[in-house]
Amino acid sequence: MTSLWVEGAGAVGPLGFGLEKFEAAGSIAKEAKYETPRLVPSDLPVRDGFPPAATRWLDASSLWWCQAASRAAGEAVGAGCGQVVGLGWGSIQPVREIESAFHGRGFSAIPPALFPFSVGNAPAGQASILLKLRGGAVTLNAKEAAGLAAAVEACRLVKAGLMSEAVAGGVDHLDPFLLGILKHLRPKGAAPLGEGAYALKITSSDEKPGGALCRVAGWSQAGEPSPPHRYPEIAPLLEKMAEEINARFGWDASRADMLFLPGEIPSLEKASMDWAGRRCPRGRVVNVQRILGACGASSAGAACIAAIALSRREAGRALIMAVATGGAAYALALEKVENAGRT
Amino acid sequence: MRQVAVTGMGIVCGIGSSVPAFWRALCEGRSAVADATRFGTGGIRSPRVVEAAPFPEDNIPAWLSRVDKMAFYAAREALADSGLGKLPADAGVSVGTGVGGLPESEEAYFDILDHGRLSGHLKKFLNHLPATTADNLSTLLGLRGPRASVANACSSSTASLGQAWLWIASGEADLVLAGGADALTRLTVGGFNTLRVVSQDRPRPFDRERDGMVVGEGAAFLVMESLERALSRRARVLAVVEGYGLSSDAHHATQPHPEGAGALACMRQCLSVAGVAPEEVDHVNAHGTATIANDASEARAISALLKERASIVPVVSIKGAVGHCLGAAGALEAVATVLAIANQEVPPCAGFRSADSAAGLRVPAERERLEIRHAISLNLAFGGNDAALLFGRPA
Repeated sequence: MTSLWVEGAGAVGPLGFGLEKFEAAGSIAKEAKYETPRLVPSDLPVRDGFPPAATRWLDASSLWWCQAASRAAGEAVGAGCGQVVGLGWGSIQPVREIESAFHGRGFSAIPPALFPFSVGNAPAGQASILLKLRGGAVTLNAKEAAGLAAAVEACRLVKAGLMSEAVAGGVDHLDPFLLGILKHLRPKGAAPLGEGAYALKITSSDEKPGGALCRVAGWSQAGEPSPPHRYPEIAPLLEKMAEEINARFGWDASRADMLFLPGEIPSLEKASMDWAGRRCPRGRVVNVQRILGACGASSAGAACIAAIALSRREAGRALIMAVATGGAAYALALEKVENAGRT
Repeated sequence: MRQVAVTGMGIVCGIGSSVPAFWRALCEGRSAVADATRFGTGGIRSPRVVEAAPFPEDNIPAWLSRVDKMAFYAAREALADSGLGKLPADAGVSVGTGVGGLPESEEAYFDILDHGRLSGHLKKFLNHLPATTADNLSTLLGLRGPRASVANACSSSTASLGQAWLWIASGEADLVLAGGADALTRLTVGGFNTLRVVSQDRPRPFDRERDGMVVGEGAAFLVMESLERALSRRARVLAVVEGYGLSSDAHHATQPHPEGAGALACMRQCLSVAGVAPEEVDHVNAHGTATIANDASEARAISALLKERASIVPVVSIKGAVGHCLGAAGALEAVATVLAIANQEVPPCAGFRSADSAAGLRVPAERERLEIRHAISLNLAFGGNDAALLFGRPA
């Protein structure tokens, strides 16, 4: 029977290009103040590997996604490889620069070269050009849950055969102006805001591919009505998704030994811990938002960390769940495989 | 895979704020292109746009952004049209949008630039997040199923409908409210003007003398459900969604592939998924922006798909009537495609006068009655982000 596999993971984030040191970073993050954002290091060579002329106009989101996708995709990219990209707050930087130019000097001041980067799918479009990914692209906006929403959708598209394989994950750039707005909306004790790009390569085959990091055991998504800037009550959503994964894929969440759950603000963190304590008593809960910072991409970062941990046999069954303000929720279950591949 | 039915539709756009009004205007070849009135256009190359027709705002919350008002209005019409008394609790929602609530965010940003602070709530600045529309529809209509917000630029709502099709076909959802919405903004109208692709008059898709597109606004929603469910509740089935295809040109940020490689690939994929041969396609609702580059590239792709039947199969773009509604375009065009199947009639391509001999397509200038077994709705986007849907006549 055909299974889905995670064959690669790529990152551009506060920890640099890798996620292998997330455990150490976690202990550092505990000391971090929530007002201090977790940013991509400014000296990270994010243009490496691409022709300078091709990246001259790229904004941070597009550049980071191209780099993370390239690292996840590796050398062997099939002609039918597609992309699913999740955005938390979208391409703020080019939009803001265009709006500022217009506000100051009118329509004629809008820079033509910037306009194509103001659209939500600019990162996917640029990655398709730079990496020759011709298998289609979907860009999703699911705020805090965007990266995981993209990974779940990629699994669905690959399983249905609409993409032969896919690079999926999330990207968000914390534009300084946006940071100024968002920090006023966050409660005390919240996880620090973050930025970055995290990508997984998802493939499909009957037999385990040589480079597989782990197997995709199942996925689910659900929604609970909630105003766009407010979290719903999350425990019923987490339970509903765990039940659905069990019903559709026969994967029992109570046996998960590594859990990534919503933890952007203290009340979510507590609700997640309470649910995990009841439902998955053997599971170690990792609050990835405190390590990578809270943004739309972080939930994809969680999936990358899970895949790496499973490939190193530090865990056997990982469950990643994310809930966005507004009430959209996504879940992905991953399992270890024998003789896992590269990270 | 399960079969998927379309059982209800709703729309608001330049030529009408109901499905019957939209279809009537489309078949009469009317166009709503005019100079922009919603914001000043001083210094712009072309002020031509399509603003949405007025629609009653009774029982629409005043706090919604303009795009969400249009979306809510169209969604309610679709639900009423489907004959659903009450929505099932696990109904999903899938929305495609380009800029979403950006008009309100633009105002908020200008307020900050002018006064150093925002006079309203800071959240106004975040109105443009594409997920806001799906979140608001979910709250207002009590939708507890899967939710998606697609931001694929001009193919956003083609992909949102494709996603809904996949959820239902794979058994992950039984019923999904799927569509798209976009509002006019300074950014999009000004942005396309700086690229010098906006018409000085009106869009004339596939016409020899076409001189560009105009930006439009609107919203359209379709009620999609498993055919089994639709039949069990004796719903009227307008059409079936038979396939979905997506591809990337991997060519240029704004220019389509000159040979239409991506457009051809996604049309072939949606036919392959459905098990339908190109010879069985009787109508294509094209992206047809009326720019020189898009129409030439798209015509090559459609010709390559249909081969000798390209001179027989009617190819229509509705953008001459409603403008290019960006993230909503795919949903508006899906409504037009479903209506063509339901009525077994193709509307004229508004704005079209004389054939571009290089295109090799048959573009009707008048409405035509014909047998339509299967019809493709195709959309292409910045970054070569292409998507196609195949609709069919219900058995």
